[in-house]
Amino acid sequence: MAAALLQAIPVTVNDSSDVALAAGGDRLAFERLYRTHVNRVFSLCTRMSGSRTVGEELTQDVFVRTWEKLPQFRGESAFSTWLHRLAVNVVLNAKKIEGRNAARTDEGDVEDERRPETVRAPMHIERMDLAEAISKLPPGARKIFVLHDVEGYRHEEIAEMCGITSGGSKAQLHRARLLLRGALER
Amino acid sequence: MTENMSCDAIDAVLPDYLEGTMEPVLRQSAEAHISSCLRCSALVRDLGKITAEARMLPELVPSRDLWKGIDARIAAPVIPLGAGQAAPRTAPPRRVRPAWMGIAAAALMMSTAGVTYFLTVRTLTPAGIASGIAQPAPAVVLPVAESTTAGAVEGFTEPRAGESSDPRSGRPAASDVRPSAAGIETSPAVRTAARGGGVASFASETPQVRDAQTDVVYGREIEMLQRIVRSRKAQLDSSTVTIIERNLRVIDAAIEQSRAALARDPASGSLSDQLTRVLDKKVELLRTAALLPAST
Amino acid sequence: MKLIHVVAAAALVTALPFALTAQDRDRLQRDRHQIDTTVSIERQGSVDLSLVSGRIRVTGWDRKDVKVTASIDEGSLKFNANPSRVTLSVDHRDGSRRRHGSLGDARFDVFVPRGTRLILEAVSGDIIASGVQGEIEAGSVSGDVSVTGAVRDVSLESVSGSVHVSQVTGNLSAESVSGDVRAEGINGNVEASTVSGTVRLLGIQTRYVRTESVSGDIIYTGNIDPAGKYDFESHSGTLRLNLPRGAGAQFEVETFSGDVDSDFAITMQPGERKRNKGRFEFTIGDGRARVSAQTFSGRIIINDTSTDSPTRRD
Repeated sequence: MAAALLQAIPVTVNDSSDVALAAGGDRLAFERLYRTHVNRVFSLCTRMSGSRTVGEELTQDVFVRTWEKLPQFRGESAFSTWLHRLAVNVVLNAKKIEGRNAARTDEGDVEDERRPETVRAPMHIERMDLAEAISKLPPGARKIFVLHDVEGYRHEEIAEMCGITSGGSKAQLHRARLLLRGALER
Repeated sequence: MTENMSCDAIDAVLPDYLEGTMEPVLRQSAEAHISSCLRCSALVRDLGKITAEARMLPELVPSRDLWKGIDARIAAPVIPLGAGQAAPRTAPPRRVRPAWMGIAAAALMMSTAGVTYFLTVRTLTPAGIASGIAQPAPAVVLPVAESTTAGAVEGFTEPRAGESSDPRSGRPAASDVRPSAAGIETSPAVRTAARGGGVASFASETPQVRDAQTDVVYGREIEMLQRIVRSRKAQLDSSTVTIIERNLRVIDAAIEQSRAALARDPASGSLSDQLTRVLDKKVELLRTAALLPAST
Repeated sequence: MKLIHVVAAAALVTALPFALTAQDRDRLQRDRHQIDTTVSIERQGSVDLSLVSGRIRVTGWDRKDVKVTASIDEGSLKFNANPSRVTLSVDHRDGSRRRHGSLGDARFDVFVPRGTRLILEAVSGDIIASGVQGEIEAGSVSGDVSVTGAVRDVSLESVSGSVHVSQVTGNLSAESVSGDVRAEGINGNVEASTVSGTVRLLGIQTRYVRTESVSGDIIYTGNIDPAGKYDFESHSGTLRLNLPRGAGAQFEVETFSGDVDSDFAITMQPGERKRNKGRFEFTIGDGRARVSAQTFSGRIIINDTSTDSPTRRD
């Protein structure tokens, strides 16, 4: 299983030397960074978008963008923090592009028969109920909820990233939690 | 002075209460109500649980190794500039972001079964240039579909099996693709212009090198987009497809004219910019087409 | 409704923004062929309408509500309203999850408070918005987009349809592939582009214009602000700049093989002649604004509108 292989590959604990190498064009170093951080990025992309398939595509986009922007990383924060922020931006921008062009149907519907869901990784036992409920949230509420309650960003940060006010972020978060509560009750 | 808050009032202040950002007096009065109200205490408890569970959600793992796809997209032409210099990264062309491979487009690519992308890069050796020998410009061998019977590569000449991409072989890459008469064309994505005469200086990036790099990056993007558009044709409204194809032809004609002018005057920065602009237009239009909503 | 009742109702709404009543839930799940409803919306809330074929028409009014009248021949309407956002879209779902093939024409007639932000999308439908005085983002694939009266940021696009916009106080971005783009009475930055359609910019008051086409013509009739920057580019289309009396600008005109006709004298600066034969720089008036006109083979025509020029044509 591919997932088993991923587990077997050794990953470096300290990123900084690999970051420096990768910024200079070393693709092997970049692959090591990828191996270290892919799951976290994938989790974020999948949860914010509500679909594993989409999450995989976004994950690739994130790493391609990271490769391009790596020379601009100045080490003012931890690499993982920077990478994570970049991932959030990629996901938010991807949704904008999709939203503008798709003839949307139901705002809350993330299932699209054009994109069959891939099989869930058998190795992880997720809290299926909550995770599934999250994936069914309306996109706006979902992304705020994931950013705040799952990923731990503060409202000020979310507001800045999403181009809303922190009051708006609080409001959407609350709405998301209420919707989840309603969904989990059934 | 704590007054009894009502359930409605609790609802209104709940976000702040859960955040812990209420001022103490108000918070006290809220807690007084919550502790004695079944409905509100259940609400607070449930929301708290959701937050706590959310924090504890485990990391997800992709169902397949995503590295190959990433590696293919970041592979850059390697142009050795001389000892001690790092290989330059391909600069993304103006306004074309790999993030265009948005969800719709990418998902459609996934559904085209068995497509493998590989990029082979020929290096432009300083020695070759210095000696004035016409070397193939940095070229990209375009994505090759594993199943070529799909018809997804109409009008596109693939390298024949066995043709090597050995930089020293000197063989021209798959080049100068014949545009298909009808339908969405393939633009010549590979440039094998032998730049006669001038010895390129490698102290800095020359227009030739920059143009070759530009062609490589645009070529790849354009080819990927064209695949998607071709595979989607059936879903799109036919009159829209006609309009898009017609406009692609307009753009292709402009590209050809710019290329021809640039070939006669390769050092012209403004002609090079013009070419980049029309290539941008092509990518933009293909992207628009790739992301069009299905109308059937 | 008496004013005091409206105020009380509004207070109640703002005090209970997130209590989802059964009525709300019901509203969220309605599938319908027809809607005729009025809902309240916050100031500067947003209204998001999308359909596949048919017509979207939005009109600004002085009331604080959003009134939605909509119908669809086949398929169903999805309506969702909360205090800050109203959404209306179409769906093929009638229990069975089939593709879009069974969607019929939809007609949306919506009235919104002035200042509302609009997001309007159609595939083969036309979009019309007037008097809304808010931000607008509108796009159609083969339909026409027509907007009058908007502020701040306006972004409009069509693939084969036309884009017509007028009376905007704010920044405009207008794009079509083969349709015409026509913008009039814009007070703000303007970006317009097309592949083969014509771009007409009239009565523009701005410090920034950027417009480009591949084969379509571009016609500009507007001010030249001393602090402004104006870029016009076409590959083979004609650039026609109609400049006002007293304009002052430094011009950079470049063409590979096109003709240049100018009412103003063109002088070649010594040393200006580089590799490109078709490059001219000249100055008119106080030379403060910067105007750049570039084509590959298209004609460049610069008219001084204070004279009667035989080549002038709007």
